[in-house]
Amino acid sequence: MINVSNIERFAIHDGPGIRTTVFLKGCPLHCPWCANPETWTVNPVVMHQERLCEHCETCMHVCPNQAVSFENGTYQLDRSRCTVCGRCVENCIPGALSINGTAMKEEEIIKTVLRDRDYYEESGGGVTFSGGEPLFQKEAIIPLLKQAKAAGLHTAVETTGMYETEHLKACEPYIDLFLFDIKHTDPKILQETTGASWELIKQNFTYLSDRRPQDVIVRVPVIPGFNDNALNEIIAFAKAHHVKAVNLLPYHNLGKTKWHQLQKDYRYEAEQGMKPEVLKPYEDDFVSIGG
Amino acid sequence: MAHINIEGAQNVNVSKRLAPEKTPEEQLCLMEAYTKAYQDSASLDKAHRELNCLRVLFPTLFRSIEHQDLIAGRLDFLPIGFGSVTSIGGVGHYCVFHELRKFAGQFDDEEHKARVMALYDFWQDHDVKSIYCQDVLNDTTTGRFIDCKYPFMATARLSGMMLDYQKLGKLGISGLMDEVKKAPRNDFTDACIGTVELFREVITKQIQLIEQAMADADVARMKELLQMKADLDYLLDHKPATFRQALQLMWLYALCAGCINYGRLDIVLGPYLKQDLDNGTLTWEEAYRIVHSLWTLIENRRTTVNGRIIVGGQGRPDPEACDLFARLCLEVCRNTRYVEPQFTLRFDHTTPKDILDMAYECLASGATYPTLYNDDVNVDAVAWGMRLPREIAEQYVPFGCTEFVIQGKSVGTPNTLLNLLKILQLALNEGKDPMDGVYKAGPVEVKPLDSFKTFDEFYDQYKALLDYYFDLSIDAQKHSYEIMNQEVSFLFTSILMDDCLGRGKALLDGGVEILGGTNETYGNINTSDALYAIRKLVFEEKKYTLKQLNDAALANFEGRENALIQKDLLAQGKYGNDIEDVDDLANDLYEYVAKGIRDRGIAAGLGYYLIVISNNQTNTDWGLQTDASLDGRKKGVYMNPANNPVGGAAKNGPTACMNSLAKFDAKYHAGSVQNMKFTPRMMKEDEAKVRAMWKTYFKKGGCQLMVTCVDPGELEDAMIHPENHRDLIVRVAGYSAVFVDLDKHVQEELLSRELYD
Repeated sequence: MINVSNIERFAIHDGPGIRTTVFLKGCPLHCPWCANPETWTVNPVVMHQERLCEHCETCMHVCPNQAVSFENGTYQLDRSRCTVCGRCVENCIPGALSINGTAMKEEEIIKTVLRDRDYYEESGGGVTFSGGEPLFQKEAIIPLLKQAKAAGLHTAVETTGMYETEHLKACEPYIDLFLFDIKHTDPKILQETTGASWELIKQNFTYLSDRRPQDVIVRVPVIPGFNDNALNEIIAFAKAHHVKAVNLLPYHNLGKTKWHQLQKDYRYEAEQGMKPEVLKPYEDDFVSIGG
Repeated sequence: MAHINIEGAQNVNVSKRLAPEKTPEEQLCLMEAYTKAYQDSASLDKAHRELNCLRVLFPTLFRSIEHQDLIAGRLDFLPIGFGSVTSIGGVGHYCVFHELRKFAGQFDDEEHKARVMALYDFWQDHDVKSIYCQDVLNDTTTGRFIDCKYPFMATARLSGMMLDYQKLGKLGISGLMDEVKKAPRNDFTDACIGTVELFREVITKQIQLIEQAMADADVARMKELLQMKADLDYLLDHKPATFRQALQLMWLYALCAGCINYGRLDIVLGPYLKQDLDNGTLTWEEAYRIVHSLWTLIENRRTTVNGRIIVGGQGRPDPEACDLFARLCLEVCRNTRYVEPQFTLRFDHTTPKDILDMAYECLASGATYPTLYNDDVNVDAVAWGMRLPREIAEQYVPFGCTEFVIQGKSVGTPNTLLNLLKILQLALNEGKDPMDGVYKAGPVEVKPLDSFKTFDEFYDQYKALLDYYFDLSIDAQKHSYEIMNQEVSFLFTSILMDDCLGRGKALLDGGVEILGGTNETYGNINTSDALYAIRKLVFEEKKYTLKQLNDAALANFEGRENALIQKDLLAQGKYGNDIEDVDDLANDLYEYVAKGIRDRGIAAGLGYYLIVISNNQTNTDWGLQTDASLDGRKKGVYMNPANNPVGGAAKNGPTACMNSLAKFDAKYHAGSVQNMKFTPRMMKEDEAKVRAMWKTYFKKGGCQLMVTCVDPGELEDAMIHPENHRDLIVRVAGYSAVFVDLDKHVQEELLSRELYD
């Protein structure tokens, strides 16, 4: 079994062709711009949409663990008390509450992915494992990757590179394409902002680029004030490792509402999405904008 | 039984009509003259009566040539007259009562009003559709189209006739006259001779109208008018020799026959186009302008759900020439933003890439055209469904919202319409419609809910009700032909339909080779989703009794407990998400309905009688009068469009939706439309992937696709600021419309559909 956040069919920006992207739960990083903060934990989480909430307080009354409160009319969830039993979700008539995260059997996931096999074959697509960090659930990811390969699927991962190299070595034979996030090349800034270890990421990146440089695409989420001044360094790093390409992904604020749904503060509250044209100067045969 | 007055809307009518050119006084005199011709023909056979009446209308009702016209022929119609379809008047000798009442309102004086109302009273007993309705309508099961209180609507109309214009081109007027004269002599063929003579008068009239237009023409326009006049002069004595002439002849004939769908014009006109281009008598630019003029003339007829021009596909004798015409149409389509013609591309695995590229470009630009029909699926499906040899099936053409006919060979008018969801509610309420408490189950015994021990027992109860309504449908469909045939011959139409002349018989008198018909079914997916929720929650999980669910629906899911039940109902699997058992049940219902209708058609001796899942906007209109349903839909909400998912229910992306759509075997229906909305961003930036997706869908058995291309938020904004969105064209179901012209409920239904980005 593996914990899944979401399965998105007709994913067209996560690798070549038409794909299905399987978002797996669990991530070692905590990037403040993260578009999928609900995937940080391996376990399921309750999410609350203020937009739909009618403040009827039913959730508070039905919660067996007294985890819910409404202070000054604002929904609060004490996650240390919440056991994700689902009572509140079942009783929420307007549908403001939901649970993200389901444990699924590997074969169940592959079965879903294979429903679009014809589309992959026509377009040169396949399956992409994303997250979170898709390699985070160490025990479960390898059988999942193996089953995907056994089914004849083209496999891609959208990865942070943040895990032991031994684990990467175990997974690598079953992965056709690495969409490898390089968020920064300055160890200190990277560590402080995301909690990631540049040393470990670099080691894994080098391991891959030494062996299969053309199966690696560097992806850079371009974040205002964080790395938008460091793009040349990242591109130079990628080039030096002879990988296939660099994709610059302009910042978007689509993840904002998810932060709110988890009652987390979002650092980029006032930030608008970045216009792709801003990144035009970087564009060339090696560097493209978008995925 | 009291006389049933059928005044009221009789067709979906979004586009605004052009007012007739004649003054109200002249119009009234014409309608009186028509009525008198009808009365004076009392001692004659129906064919001669029809001819006498047509002589009142033609060529008088032709209006002036407009400055942009490169083809002659603009025809008005009045609240009383002769026709085939309700979009431009009515069927046979018709009176559109609500239009006539409105017409009376134009006069201030009582004398004129009285003259109009005298006509109203006379036609109450003579309008063909009224005559039909007296026999068929009742207070419980069967309403007129459009009166949505009933589970079943029936009408008399002769929709979707697409004539053999190839034959017209090959023969010309003189040849046609020879053909008519060769036919076995009887009242019908004798009247046909008069009909061809009348057609010649129509052409002569166009020449006069062109001469009038010359009065204020500048030099450039004069040149065009002279050309038009020369073509018409030529046509009086010869068969058409050029592209212009062939198109001109076809156009005038279609007007006279009351046809508003034109069919495979690439077959008719492609060879002339190629010949003229090859010998240098016509340039591409000139040809473009002529076709553009045709587009404008069709748009100006404003028939909302019709105006089909079809290009491409199998069974074309000269594909190269036909494709030339197809390319010309695609260019015009790309550069215009008209809701009509409903420009349609039939394609298969051999269609040239540049044609597919242009079609994609048109759709990505927001034209909503061409609609795409997959011949690799449809030809075999039609052959099986209509029991025809493949080479005949190759000549299938979609008309109106999608119903198939065989060009020049079949009648396939949709004179019967079923609301599957309303019928389901009869099964849940012992035969009563919860909307008005009226018993609508006829002789079917409908058991109380606690008597159903298994899902199949309940499903069988529903099927028993469906069977009853299928029986009503076939009887009503057949009777519409009997009544129409009793009253009229459809002379113009009969002359160009196989094999009326050969047999010496009018269209519905045994003349047409294939007498088919179609039945429009609505609420298909709400119904199958509701059945799925019932099976799951009542019979598998046993979470609720059937009565609990139904009581919640009767309360419109109001109150906390009922709202929780609605939440559960909405959370069940829905069609459009590629969920095996949900789609299987939808398919099971589809096949039951489709086969039930088809088998009854065969038993009744029709060439075919097939369902169409097309819907104009009746899914919305009928939804307004349908109670809350067990798929979680509230009372009075629109039903799902065609066989597409319920709005907002398809949450697994477009491939999952297409997998569900491709599940229904096309051979059981005579047309089913698939509507999808994509953003311009996706259509442009992800073109290769979108095209790969469509291609896969078509390979998997997808029979049809039509595309609306809008930005996120655009429809919402258009509802608030209509003035900024006059050029926003959307695909409603089997027709396109300017979004801001649509009724608010229809706008909301469109908005509810998934937009893929």
